Amino acid sequence: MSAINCKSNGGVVIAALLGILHAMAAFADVDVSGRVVDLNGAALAQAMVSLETASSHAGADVITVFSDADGHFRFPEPINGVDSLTVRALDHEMLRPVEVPADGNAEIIVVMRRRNNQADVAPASAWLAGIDREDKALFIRDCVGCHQVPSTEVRTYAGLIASVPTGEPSEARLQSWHSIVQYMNYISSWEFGRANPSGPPDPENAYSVGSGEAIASIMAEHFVGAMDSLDGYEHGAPLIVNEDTRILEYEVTGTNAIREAVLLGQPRELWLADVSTNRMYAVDIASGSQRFVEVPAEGDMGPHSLHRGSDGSLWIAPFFSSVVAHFDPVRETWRTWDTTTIDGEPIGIHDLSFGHEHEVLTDKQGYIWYSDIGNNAVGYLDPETGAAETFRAPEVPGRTDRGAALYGLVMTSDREHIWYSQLGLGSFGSFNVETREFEALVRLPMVDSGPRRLTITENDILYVSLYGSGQLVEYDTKSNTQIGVYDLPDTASAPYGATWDPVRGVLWIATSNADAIYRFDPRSKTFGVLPLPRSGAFLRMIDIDPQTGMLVTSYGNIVEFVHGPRMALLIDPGDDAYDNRVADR
Amino acid sequence: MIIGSTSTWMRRTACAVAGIGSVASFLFAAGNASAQEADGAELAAGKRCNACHDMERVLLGPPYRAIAARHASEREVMTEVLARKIVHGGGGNWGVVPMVPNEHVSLEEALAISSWILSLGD
Repeated sequence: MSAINCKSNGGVVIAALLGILHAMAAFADVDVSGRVVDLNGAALAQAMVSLETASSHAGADVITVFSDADGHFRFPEPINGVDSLTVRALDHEMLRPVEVPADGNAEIIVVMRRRNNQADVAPASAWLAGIDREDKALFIRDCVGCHQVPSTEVRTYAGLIASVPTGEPSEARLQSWHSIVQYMNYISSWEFGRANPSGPPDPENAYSVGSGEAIASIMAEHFVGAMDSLDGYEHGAPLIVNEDTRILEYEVTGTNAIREAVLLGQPRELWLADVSTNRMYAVDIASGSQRFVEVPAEGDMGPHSLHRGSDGSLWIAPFFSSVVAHFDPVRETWRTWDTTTIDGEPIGIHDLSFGHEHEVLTDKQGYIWYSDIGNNAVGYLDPETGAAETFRAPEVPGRTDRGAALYGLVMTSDREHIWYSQLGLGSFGSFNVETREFEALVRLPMVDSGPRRLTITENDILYVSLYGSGQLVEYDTKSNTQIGVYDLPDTASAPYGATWDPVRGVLWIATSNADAIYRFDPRSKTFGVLPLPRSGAFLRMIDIDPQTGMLVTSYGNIVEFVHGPRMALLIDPGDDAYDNRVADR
Repeated sequence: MIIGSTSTWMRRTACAVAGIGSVASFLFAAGNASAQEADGAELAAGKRCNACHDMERVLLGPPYRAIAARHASEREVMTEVLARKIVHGGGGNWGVVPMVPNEHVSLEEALAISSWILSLGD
């Protein structure tokens, strides 16, 4: 079953009429290029130039390129209708808006002046710089799981707190932020309980996050005043963008909670998981057209984690149910498995076993292994028979009083071991799928370090992104030795997941709180920054398209009433790493 | 302004026109006070107002009936004032904790909600 977004019969008639009007007032293609300079006429390199396309343009809604060393920029393809052109940089702002001519060749000079206030351009992470490391890890782990913090809404609320007359401003701040913590607990209870047949949560029983008092105290101490002025934020590592870097953003219309994205099929389509429905959206990257298909699951499934199959198919893990779905994008056929434990308990599947190419990798029996976030377990699904079995993880010494949230999962190249992370316990470990025994267990120094999604190389080097502490762990699974733990360029960036890029030989790290993607080069142990053209760029996974080397990701704000962008992204980093690779898939 | 990336300019614009029709229908319905109040009750639940407000109990904010009782004598002007407070937030009337802004609620929806709240004092 599939549908387009606007499907009323009346809409067809209106569309026909508007089509005639459109033909009468069509835009001409325009080649857009120009130069970014400062007030002295000096070139500004690596400035982010974003062009919002008009609805007449077939393709992405927003296209972003970067200026070269001489300040020059060029959009590689003609644009059929431009709504606006903006240039962003952390330390400069546009002197005045620029207009793009409606046709012909547009050579645009953009003059920038030094920026005195970064409040409107710095990422949410910038506001967390002054928080003690352990407090920051706790705060990020508890609060940045669903959306960026502090978001614009949070900063607006800080202004409201500051505006209320009181003789005891510290106490008023504490009370107010405590209320916000409670309010967000309700909202998240509602969101996570969408599939709950008993209806919305009871407000008096939704306020249960154990660290709520500590979170409120952190906010009261650090979110002071109107929060409308900021300076001194830096990316923390060199930018890796150049004149060939290109970012394409596709907005998904209507109410949705887009989570993850992959490229599939021929021609390529962006497939997006909408966790708020049972829908998978498909976006034609050439035309920008959108449609959706329903996952054929009973009740609320909530497509969540996406995994490419080596045959070009798609595996989907659920958010609300225990249904695993498999989709063939060529034939548009489905197969689903409603998994339970041998005891008949529901399984809370988060990840399926990723291999080093970021595709589902089965064990030697053809079983797909999964992480079970609900039962602190790993398990397998036999796609032939539908049989499933789970194995509960052992206790982590000293960390038994918290929910484990067994989260990410990868499989080693010998297909005999899986490695998992435990978000709630600050730990990761391994399980032998042949002996069915847990083996290694690594306890990270900070319980709130927040290990989430994992990735592994063809040489079985494991990378663990630490969401709370803003670090990356590099671990040799063959020798069971830790190679290193590295601070990310911004330790408040909330790195959600890392993805190994086997062709470039680098790691791409998706951040939830820094409006950026980080690149880690394991040869030099250095980071680079790929800035994103949008506030609220709450990332989850990055996939690497094996044909083109494009990075594929999406802004994954989950809470319905949080005003984050709902967009999928294709990113060409601007290198030629994949140019000589045979497109044989 | 990004208006969405549906398949073509035609489809996007058709959707926008259909959306305008929906808003017009809503505004027409809003002319009926009792219907507006009924909508307000549903909207209050759907927009998560119940996270902070209950009919009788003090949660994070004051009970709906207490708000209605306080503003019973100035209902007309307070319908407008409360609606704007729902959208933009504000504080100082019920203690030091400001109300959160609710930018996901349109002014029309907020008017329906405030009208319903104030009708509880009837």
